[in-house]
Amino acid sequence: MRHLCLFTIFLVSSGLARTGAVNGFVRDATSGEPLVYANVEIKGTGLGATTNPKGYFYLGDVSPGTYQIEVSYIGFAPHSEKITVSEDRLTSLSIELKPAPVELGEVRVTAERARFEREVEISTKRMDTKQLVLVPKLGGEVDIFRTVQLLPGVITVSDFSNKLYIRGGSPDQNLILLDGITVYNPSHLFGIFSPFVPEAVADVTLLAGGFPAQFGSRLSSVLDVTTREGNSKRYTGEGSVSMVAAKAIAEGPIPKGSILFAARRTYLPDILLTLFSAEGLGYYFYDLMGKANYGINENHRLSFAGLGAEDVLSFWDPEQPDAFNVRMSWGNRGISTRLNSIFSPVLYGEIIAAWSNFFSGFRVKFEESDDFQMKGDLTNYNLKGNFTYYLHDRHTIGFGLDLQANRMGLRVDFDTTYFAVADTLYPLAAYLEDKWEIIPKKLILRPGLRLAWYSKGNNFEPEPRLGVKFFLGKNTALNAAVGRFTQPLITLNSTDPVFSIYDVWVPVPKNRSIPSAIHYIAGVEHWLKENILIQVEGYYKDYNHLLETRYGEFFTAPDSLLTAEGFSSGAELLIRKNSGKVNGWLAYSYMWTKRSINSESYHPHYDRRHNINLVLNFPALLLGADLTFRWTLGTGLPYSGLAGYYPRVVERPGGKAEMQWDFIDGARDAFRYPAYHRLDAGFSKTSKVGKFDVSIFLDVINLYNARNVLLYYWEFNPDGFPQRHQINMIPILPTLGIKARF
Amino acid sequence: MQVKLLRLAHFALFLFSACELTPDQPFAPQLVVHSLLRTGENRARARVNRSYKLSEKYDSLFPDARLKITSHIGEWQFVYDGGDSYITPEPVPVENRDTWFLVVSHPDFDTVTGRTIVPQPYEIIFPRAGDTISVNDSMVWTRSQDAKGYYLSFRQVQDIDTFYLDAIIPNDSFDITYDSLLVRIPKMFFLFLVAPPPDSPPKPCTLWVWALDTNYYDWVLGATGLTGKDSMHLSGGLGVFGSAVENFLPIFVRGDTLSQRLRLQEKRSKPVYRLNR
Repeated sequence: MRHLCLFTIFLVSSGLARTGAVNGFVRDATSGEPLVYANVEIKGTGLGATTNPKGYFYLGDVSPGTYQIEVSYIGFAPHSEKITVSEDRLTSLSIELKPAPVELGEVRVTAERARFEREVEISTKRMDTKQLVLVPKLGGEVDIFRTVQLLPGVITVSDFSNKLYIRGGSPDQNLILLDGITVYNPSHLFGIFSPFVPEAVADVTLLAGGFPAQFGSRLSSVLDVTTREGNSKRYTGEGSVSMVAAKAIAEGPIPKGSILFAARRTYLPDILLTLFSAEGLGYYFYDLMGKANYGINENHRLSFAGLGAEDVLSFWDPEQPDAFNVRMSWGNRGISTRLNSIFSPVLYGEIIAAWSNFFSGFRVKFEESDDFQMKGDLTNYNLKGNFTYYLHDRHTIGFGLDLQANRMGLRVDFDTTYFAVADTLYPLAAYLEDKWEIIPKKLILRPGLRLAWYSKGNNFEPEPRLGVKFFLGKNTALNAAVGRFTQPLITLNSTDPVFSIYDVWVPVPKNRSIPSAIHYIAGVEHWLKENILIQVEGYYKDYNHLLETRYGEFFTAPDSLLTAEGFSSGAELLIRKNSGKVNGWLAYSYMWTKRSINSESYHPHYDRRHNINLVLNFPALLLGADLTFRWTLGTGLPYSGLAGYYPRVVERPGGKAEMQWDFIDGARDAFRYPAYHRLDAGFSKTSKVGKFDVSIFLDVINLYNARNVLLYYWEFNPDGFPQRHQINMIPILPTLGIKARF
Repeated sequence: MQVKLLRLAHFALFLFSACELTPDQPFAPQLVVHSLLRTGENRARARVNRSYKLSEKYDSLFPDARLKITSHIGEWQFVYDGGDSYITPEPVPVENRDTWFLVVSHPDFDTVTGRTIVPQPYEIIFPRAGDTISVNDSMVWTRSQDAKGYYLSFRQVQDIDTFYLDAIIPNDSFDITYDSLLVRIPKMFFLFLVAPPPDSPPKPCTLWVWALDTNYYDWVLGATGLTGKDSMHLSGGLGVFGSAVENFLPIFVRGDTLSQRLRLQEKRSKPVYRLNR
């Protein structure tokens, strides 16, 4: 402990010598929300920085003098002011940017450009609220996972699944974080929607590979979702109704802070069930999100975030609902507390305490008493500390701790008895990371080391990471990254079924090796114009000790999981235009992924060779209405087909032998579906009605009604021949909605 | 320029189409055998057919197979019995704990072999023949030590062909009330499907219990579609060669409501069994 104090004192003292320094926060002038990755530059010095996720920046080693400091950010008017820097003094600023009118679109690229110049962010894609809600909406509901699915390297296996298959990794290899809360099963309605209200989300960052040492415990990617802090200037609200759900968002100031609350509940399933006279069957889901911020003082800020999401499916006897009913429910809930502190001008840190819980329940009730109940849950307790020490504006050191406890439990109550099983895993990790622009405007290195320890099996896992950026010119840079990643929690359910309710997570059994992956990534970034970015990346991911379900099984017991090796490799292209009369992006992914179990090799069902996503947005195209198109083309996904059939006789006690048909499976995932393609269109028009901004939106999914295959099944026709039938994905589906904001 | 574009288009077409070819799935037809030896049965029976390509039509006639079963007692040959059925002309004495071997051959297919060990005997303690039971009663029988599981079947006597209730019960130690000597079903709440209304006279039913060897237990479970790939325990072909020990008894099922029972239970203390707590 004494060593830690000495180290901290050294860090604090070393930043202030002979020169001066400038630090501060950059916020939105209208809402008070921090502006993430805003560009801060001291003109004429070559010194510059980007704000961190809390809007904080630090510029050290500034020679005494008077300067012009410029701050710019996407969608905001640039800010410029004169500052005076004195020797051994810290100049603290609190800068507020005002939203820019549309015609100032060209300044919207500066922050992204600033990140390009100062960060090693290989395989990183970031989207803010405006971009998330851009794409046409399924059922009128924006879904951030659906938008993320349109990025390069990300594929989805069906219209009914929001699962993310990133660079050949299965969905359980993605770490999903909401304000530091780990979300284990981020889906509603069997995978159609995710449990986040997009309008309450400030920023989504996808780290598709080679992610920094700060993150761990997953093999493929990190999806870091940050909730908006809420408007600290005035009370605002927003309500919307679509064909699927209604939602409301309210936010406003509180003493020394702000608060935001968002809620959504479905009603479409209720309507459909009523229309189809499905008496005795009910379904709904809801989401609650909230965040509160409290500024303790200038240097310390506390925030609380919460998530509550649940699906409820119930059956009952329509004539005697109290006599017999069944209720299934599952969902996510979590809270986090975050303390963001400027311990000294050069030492910024955040301490996060988070609790998250995925729960599932199944209850059969007879009259007044419960007769059968099954409850399962997965609880995560997480204490994290992330610290950044600013050596100077081009050199920072990050370090931190990530202490977790995961508890999995299952309890079954049956009349007078019950049994319960439980398991606990403690993943503990510490990391150190250095980001150093060794040659100004030429070479940036980001070496890091994460040391992880997993209690189950007493596994110690070193995870070295390295990121490199080399500038070929003002507009072009080469990126590379390599790193080792391990994962102590896995899922037991197969991802093959088209619909799944939720995943079942367990620790890696202690007699099995921890699954690991090594990422090798290289790419080029090029700014074609001020607002057009082209990114090309290639990657190779080497998997070891993966634990896969058995072929044909929905669930495989932990001890029976099969050890698999494998790889994923591919190339990606992203052309993104952030502003102008036409904006959007084109994403192309080329991918190979393969698994080997003993002597059998196969391409898993998410091995899509080519995938193209085109998103085009025409803002204010006609009479102020926005028009958006999204087109997707993906080559066929593998599936496990059939090779033959045979008569299967089963003899029953006391009865005759019965014959049924059974099919003979072909090799695992040896067949491929036809190519997938779909065009969506969205139209929205916002008008001022009294104090309200009222938006009417019309979205059409699958505009030309492509018959994309969801699955094949076989039946015997009257002639005794097996015949293949197909079920298609979503047909043309128009939806209408309205949104009001004050 | 146009030539370049054309080449580019060809290349793109190649990229998109080449990887979409579904490889030909090799398919070699195999013999499909079903044979279940049961204690108390007179003659052994079997059905033999083959597997088919998806493009082939099923043929219910399969006359040219040769079958034999052997044990330490002797060897029995099967004869063709029409369709795809075969039967031993002589009675086969299937006894508990005996090991039996099956060989099926056909000139056009690989030879199929299998082995089964007949489970040990067991006795149903409750209900007894002629008892009247309800959903709140337990069922108890002595454990058959070599069986992998039990196949239970309740059938209404009046409606024997159209209504039955089957259950597969493993013979393993996962059950919280595990007893190495006895198997219990603490409450047969599934009987409410066959039970008459509470005030009606009891319904006559027949209860069958088969203790199954590993082969047939896996085969029956595989037919439910709940498990993954079958463990067929045959070499050279598909199907099953298994054995079962049968018990059956006539019983009566009376109406009862769970609520009546549960109200009674509220007055009693609840015993609790714990595992890993």
